[in-house]
Amino acid sequence: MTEAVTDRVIELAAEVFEVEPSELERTSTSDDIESWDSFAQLNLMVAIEDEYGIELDPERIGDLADLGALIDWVADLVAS
Amino acid sequence: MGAAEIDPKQVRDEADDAIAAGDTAAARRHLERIWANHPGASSAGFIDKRRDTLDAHHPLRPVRVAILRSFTVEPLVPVLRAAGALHGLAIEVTVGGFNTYAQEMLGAGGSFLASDAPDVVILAVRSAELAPDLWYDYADLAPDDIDAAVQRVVSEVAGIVEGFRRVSEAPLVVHGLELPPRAAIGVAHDPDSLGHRDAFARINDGLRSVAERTSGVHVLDLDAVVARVGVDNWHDDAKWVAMRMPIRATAMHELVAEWLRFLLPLVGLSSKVLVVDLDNTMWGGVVGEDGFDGIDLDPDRVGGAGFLAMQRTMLDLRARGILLAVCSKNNEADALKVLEEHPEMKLRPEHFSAMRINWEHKAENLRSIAAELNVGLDSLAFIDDNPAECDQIRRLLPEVTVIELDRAPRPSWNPLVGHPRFERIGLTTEDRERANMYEQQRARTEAYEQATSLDDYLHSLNTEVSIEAAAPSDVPRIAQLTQKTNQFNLTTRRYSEAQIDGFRTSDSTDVVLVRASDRFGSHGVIGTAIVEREASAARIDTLLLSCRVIGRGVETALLSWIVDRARGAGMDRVDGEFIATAKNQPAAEFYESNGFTLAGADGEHTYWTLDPATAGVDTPEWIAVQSGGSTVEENT
Repeated sequence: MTEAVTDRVIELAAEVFEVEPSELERTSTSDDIESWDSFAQLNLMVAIEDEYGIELDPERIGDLADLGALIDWVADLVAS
Repeated sequence: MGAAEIDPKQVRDEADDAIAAGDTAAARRHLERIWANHPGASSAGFIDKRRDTLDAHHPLRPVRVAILRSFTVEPLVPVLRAAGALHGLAIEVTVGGFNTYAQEMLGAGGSFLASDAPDVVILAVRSAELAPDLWYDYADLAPDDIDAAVQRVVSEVAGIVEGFRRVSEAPLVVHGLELPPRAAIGVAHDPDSLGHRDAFARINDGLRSVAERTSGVHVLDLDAVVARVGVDNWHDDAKWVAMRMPIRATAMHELVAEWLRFLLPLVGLSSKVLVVDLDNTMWGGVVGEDGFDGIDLDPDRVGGAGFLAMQRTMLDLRARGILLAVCSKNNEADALKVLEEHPEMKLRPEHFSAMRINWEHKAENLRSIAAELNVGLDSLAFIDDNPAECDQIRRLLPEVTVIELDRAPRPSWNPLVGHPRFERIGLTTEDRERANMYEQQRARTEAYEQATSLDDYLHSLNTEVSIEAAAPSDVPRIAQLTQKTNQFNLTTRRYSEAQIDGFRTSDSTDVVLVRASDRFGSHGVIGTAIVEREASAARIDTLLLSCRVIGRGVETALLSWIVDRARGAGMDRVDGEFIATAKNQPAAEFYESNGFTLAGADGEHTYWTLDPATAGVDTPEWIAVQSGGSTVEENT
């Protein structure tokens, strides 16, 4: 399950940030990806919510350390 | 309403395999399946990245859209780009500043509306920002305060819209206001006061009045969009508070779909003809196998009721001026018997402007339907349940809009309802009457077949033409003609209602229209010319004629009228211009055959001129011209 979520979130992030999926990994942060600004982050959040029919708490999203933390959060919500 | 179940990952892979193989028709089908299965932000990125493939299958129409707003619309932009690409648009979006819509609309500080010249502008302001007192504090307001607030909001928007017209000629789509879902005074009715929801409904009435008196302004019924989604599925409280993003991720595509219902007709991407298959599209089952009594048109079964509801939708489209045609692989006698005699059928043979019930390739049949109805292939939409037939049309006729019926229609859903290619902005009388006019056209064709010569035929039509200056009420129809006419169109310049109105009210420009009628009935307004008067010359900026009347000399009557006018005004020259396109070959010889001489050429442009003092253009003798609504002169 986590593997599928990892792949899909990375695909969605690559589409939103306009990079190749291979350029993203669990440790990627907004410091590594030039196009990862606040609007791109919102667009990614919306794409993930739409993909899984979940809601991500906007107050928590800023606290995430890296892409891996986002993936784990999404995987938790999808599993529950 | 969920589509036929698909594995999204597998279809994404199939799309990319098709792209790698250079098969753009198959790629289009897979991208459409992805969207139908799950429209929205999660599919948008994948599709938008493959916009070039859709463009390679059939060129997308570039459109620049400006969105002025009181809330965060950025996440809607990729969704709009993806959905637009699937419907034939290459959309580029500019977003205005946060809550600076009024300044931008009024052109303050060199607004980007003037410099960017967008093709369409959307004004998206929420009820809570436009009327905070009515939205939040309604219960505290006295009846007079409520009325005053309604007036204030309407005049505020009216002022912004009128100011906008001084900055930009672009069509403007204004979001109507959402009604408060739960009234502040609960279920109570106060006879002395406008109700909470009624106050917002009254504002929406006011916005529609503003739109009616300002050309090129249209109101989007946002409350209807919210109602379709459901209030609780629409609002996103957490993201509103944190990011000023009020719409749920899963609801965004519904607003985008509504935007497209305006964008497509505003840029002239409209289907004029819907071609329908019969078996499993018009009715359930196959008449050749199941028989007259075996097909499903039973209103008491969900299957039959679904097909009947879709027939009702087809009649709705026909009432908008969209012609219906049949294209079916069938024994003609079997199919006609159902159309003529089945007691439950809503559609009858007289509703169809063309029928092809045979065993030919459907691509051939669509070509011949387009030729018979005198429209381009890109004006056709085709609905069929058979993936192979749809695939053939996508491959051979990429300009046709293909609607693959991949699941049975239901009483509450079918793919024709809300399809943006069938939307019309402001129905004109011509739209409402078009299907009946084609009936008359068929009678004309029969007369042609009976007449012994073309001349006899043209005389027998008793064509009467009236040519006059355009009135304000003609502006929508003239703009529509410039948007939609492709064949007999000398310059193919597309104009908005605001631009036409600008020409009409200008001292140096004449906007002339032509109405035609004949012994079979009226055609309505079928042609227009825009003529710029310079010191000693009249320059024909635009001259076009609806394809319905091509080849009957009406265009020559219009040119004759323009030349006579120029001669009467003592002008030395009438200048004309022809810009060749892929479609306007029928108009290529127009100036030359009417005695104009070639004055220059530049790429696709040729320039023509005529001295009205020494030469004239003769109206064909079989046409009676009535000018300016007064004198009738019979040319003999």
